Amino acid sequence: MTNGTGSGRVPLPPALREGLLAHPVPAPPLASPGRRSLVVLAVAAATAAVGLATRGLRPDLAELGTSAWIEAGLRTGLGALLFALALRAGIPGAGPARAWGRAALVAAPIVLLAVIDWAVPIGGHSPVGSDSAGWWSGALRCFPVETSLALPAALLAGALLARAYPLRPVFAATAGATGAALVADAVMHLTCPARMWTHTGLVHGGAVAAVALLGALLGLAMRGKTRTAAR
Amino acid sequence: MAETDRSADSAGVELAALMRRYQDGDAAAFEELYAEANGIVEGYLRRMAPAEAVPDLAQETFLHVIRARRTYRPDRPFLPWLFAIARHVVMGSRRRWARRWSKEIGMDAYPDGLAMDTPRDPVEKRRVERALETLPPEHRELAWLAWVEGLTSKEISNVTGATPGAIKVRLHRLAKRLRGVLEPRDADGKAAS
Repeated sequence: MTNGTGSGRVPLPPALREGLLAHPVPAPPLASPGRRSLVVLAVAAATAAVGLATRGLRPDLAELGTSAWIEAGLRTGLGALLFALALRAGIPGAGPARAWGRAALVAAPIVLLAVIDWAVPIGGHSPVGSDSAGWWSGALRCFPVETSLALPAALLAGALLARAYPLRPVFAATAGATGAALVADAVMHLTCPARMWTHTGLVHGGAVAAVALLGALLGLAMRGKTRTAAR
Repeated sequence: MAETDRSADSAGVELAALMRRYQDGDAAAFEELYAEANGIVEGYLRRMAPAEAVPDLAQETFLHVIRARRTYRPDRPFLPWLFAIARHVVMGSRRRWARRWSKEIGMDAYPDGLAMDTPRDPVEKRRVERALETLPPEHRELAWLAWVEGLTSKEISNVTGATPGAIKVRLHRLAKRLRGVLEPRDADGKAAS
């Protein structure tokens, strides 16, 4: 490593010289956003496997047919897309256009939680179940389970973003956390026997929203760090 | 298809090489990078901020470059990465000090084949710059990125966060507006056919 004594035509201002000393090199480039998002996806998948193994598949899965697996697959796929968007947003100039990013972040959970859960025509999954218990009966059980399943991947995504340099940290962290929440929601979809949309929408959806909010808070913390870093 | 601005491409390639050397451990390469790129950054910032604020904003940009040093990937163009950081700095300064421009700077699209080549001749380049001064502040950024720095609409999208389609539309409108000013001219200063 050299000590920076080269003779540039324009002398380096003192603030930049201090910055060079504070942030040493070599500093190899980070792995591509694609590879980093695959790491997050792998952690989410591993957590999902643990969730499926410990909770067991829902007893009415055979009755639901392939639609249940399709819906779980859609959730996982959208979660993976959000991982990719989030990690790309960690690179200056590489993130998605604002309109596309907002659309993905807002549309994905809305489509999955509101449309698919409520009005899905696939297979025999009735949007209005016949559960006798109220939606709150499983809330205390499902909400913490789903958020726990989402946390490892959400926190990993946040950590990877913190090592990068997201110029839109709130969007990036929220997208990563929402992706993790959607993969966890896929697990709940395959393990929770509740059919009432008031349960799947409010309780499971509430867990997705809570994890997304956690991501937003992480993003706010990163934004503060980024703003003060260059002073 | 519009010709590529060789000088802009060459500058980007040279700066990318310096950034790679810096990442590899050559701190002196950052000084060379600063010497070469500071003028480019200040030129971009002048379209977005008051002249008296430009030197400080440029310095802050390079401080962010130091902190973000690991995020530059050698397989990607350097200038969009640099301009994205510069834009982040100037937008932050706007939020801190003023709210003059409330909108994102967006430009209308123009077809890639539109004859708005990035000028190579310094005199021509200066003529383009003077023409850009006639634009409202919110339009200068994209016009600068497209017609002075030679970035593609996709690269401008990476810098500004607007979609490539929106950028093309806005640049097309600007091109029409500036057509009389930006048409190629012959040695006598007459519009070339």
